[in-house]
Amino acid sequence: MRVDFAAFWLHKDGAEPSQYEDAFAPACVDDRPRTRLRCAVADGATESAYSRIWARQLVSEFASGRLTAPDLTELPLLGRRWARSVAQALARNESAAWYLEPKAADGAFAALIGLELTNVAHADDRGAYTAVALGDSCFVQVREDRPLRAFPLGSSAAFSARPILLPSRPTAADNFAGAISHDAGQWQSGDTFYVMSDALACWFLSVAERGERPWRAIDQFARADRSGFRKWIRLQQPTALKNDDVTLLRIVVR
Amino acid sequence: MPYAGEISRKNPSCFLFIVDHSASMEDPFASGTKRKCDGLAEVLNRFLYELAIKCAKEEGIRNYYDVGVIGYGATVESAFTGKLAARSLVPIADVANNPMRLDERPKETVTSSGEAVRRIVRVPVWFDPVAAGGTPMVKAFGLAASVLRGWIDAHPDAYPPAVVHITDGESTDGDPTVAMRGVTQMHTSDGNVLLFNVHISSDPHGKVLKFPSSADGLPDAYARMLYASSSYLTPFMCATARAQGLDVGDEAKGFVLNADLNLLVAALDIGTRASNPLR
Repeated sequence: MRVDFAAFWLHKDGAEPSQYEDAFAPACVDDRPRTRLRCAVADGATESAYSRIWARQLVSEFASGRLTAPDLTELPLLGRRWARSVAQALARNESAAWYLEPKAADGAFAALIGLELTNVAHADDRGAYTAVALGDSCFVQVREDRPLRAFPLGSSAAFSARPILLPSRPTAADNFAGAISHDAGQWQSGDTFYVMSDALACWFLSVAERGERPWRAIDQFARADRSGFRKWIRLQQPTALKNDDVTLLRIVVR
Repeated sequence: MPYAGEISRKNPSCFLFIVDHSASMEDPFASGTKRKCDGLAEVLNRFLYELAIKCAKEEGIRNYYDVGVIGYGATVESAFTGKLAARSLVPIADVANNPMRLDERPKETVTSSGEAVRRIVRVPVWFDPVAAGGTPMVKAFGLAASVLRGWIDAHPDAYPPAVVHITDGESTDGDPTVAMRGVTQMHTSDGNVLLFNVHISSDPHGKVLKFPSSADGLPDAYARMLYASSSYLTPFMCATARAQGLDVGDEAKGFVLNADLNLLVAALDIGTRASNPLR
């Protein structure tokens, strides 16, 4: 298979670009033939600190194939790596404010959607996908100008203000393992996968529910430069699209 | 739908505490020997500690809230001291970065290998106990109204301020009904100011009421006044209260009577909850 891959992102309005807490991987993909593509979007929780580090670790590990198990059993190892990164950051800061250490002790939280596309043997024009998700980052598969599949949330009404998220420091009270969901299906040449953090995913589904085609607006940006995407997002916020970090991976499979 | 506004750095919200510093706060809670003034100072310090941590990010504190604490007793004024002295509403970053002092306290933690480690942690303190003078509740609410008026004028579309009034006794400067109504009639475009009356008590025989939905069963005119002046809990606050095991109706009011320290903590937690996460 070949993929036409593009990534778009924008920090929330009123924040600095450095405060963008979503993450995605890979950053780019060339269009050479391949048998597999793994990609991920994570959305670090605003209410936790060092969630940017956590979100980046999650997508990087998933995209590189080191976060593989269906129930994400590698998470404790990742969590310990996150804790080491944070401890090093705190140790470097001799004048760290009193609140940083107790905040870090609470851990970081993130939503994650990971998508893997693979070839079917002896066929270039179709294949399979699997996906794992926790939280409200989603993908939508579009075929022949119609939405085919949305996962893990299938409607805009399913988005809530407080989704269950992946913790970097799970406690006995964290009930995330049972909330991890999986999906599997088929792709065929010409399908497009839109992998999105929650604000854009919720907008996408709500527009599609009205019988409109939100992917057409997005596809225009794939042909334009990134600044068009950013201007368009700001025009939608905060009425049509909630003010949040926004991330989009657009993957056309051929 | 009211009380659905975003709380963000662009659209901060506000917590205002009105706390009784009268001489009777020297008496202990009905359950135990802890003085009410000590319990109140502990609870306020703990609340600000947790609010600061909630708003903390690796780069510092984000100003999601402005916070004020009016103490009333021998004087009626901002209870902040030190660098924050006399300030009526203070952005949470300034609050977090300017405690009156940082105490060092031992804390035991367990490492990932199961080893218990004892170390010293820094704990901020903003308030020491105060118990002196009468209970000038009307004057305190008058000051609260002027503070809130300025804030609402500057933040007309914000998630509405939550006012938490903590007292152990009756007003000594007149009926506060009108002054309380003056506060709850203020509003932003997202709803009216929310007022929670938390009555704490030294009376071991006092009837304990938790977020009642009607005035039935209130023991006296004073309790009925506090009940009538209190705001209804938002649906999210009702859900939070139920999650804490409290039996509250859909029309529950932000009022508790004869609270002990645990109920005071629960009331603060419930009364300061917003449905939307911080942005």
